[in-house]
Amino acid sequence: MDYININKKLWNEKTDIHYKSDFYDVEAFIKGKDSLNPIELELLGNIEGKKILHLQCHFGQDTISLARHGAMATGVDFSEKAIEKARQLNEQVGTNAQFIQSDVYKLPEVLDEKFDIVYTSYGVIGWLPDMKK
Amino acid sequence: MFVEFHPIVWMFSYDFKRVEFDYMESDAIVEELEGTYTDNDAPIKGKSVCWNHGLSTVIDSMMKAGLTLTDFKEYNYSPYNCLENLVEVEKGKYKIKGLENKFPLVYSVKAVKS
Repeated sequence: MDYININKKLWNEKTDIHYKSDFYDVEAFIKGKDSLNPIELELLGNIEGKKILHLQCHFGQDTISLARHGAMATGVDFSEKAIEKARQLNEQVGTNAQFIQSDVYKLPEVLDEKFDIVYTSYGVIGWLPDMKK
Repeated sequence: MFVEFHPIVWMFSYDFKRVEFDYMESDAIVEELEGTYTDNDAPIKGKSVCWNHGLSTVIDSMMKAGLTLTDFKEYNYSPYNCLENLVEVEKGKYKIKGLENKFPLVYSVKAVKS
């Protein structure tokens, strides 16, 4: 089963709807609202100057929030549409987050860098068939 | 590090009325659903392919990959109102109506590579 393309089609379609949703509240986000929750903020601690790889980042709000907290953040998502929106949002907000369009399993083929922290959150591993890989 | 919805959450039917899915690793869950978590009535209908992963699968995979776990927590709330039948018990903390403190909704793991 071509799960990647089936799910990618879905997430490409979800991106526009999510971008305009109250749930993601992009308007408030641009004005400075932090998209990270107390749970992860406490676990992350001080990330000033840290290099963070954020996997399955959707349209990049949390990646940009990590950058706002002083991290050098790189977001990865398999949806072309999501990455396009993420780059747009990054520019609008004026942060210097980087974004890469890739299936996380294929990331070693397109990214050769070391990071201090690898981060992923909320509704991500269910899209991956193999935890061992 | 990561924060994720608890595998117990994904055992339930979307209305949390009955246990429908497997906790343990199983075949792919293929669905054709309408709407999305930001808006149940959104004009979107699409096929999705997902998998449930129990906690031992996740934790064991990290250990076998050479990571050392330094922090592991479970939370009896979700910071997001993205599931059905959730009530906000305090600002930014959502619980399932009628099942408020019965099981965790979220867990977090911190691990280091030595």
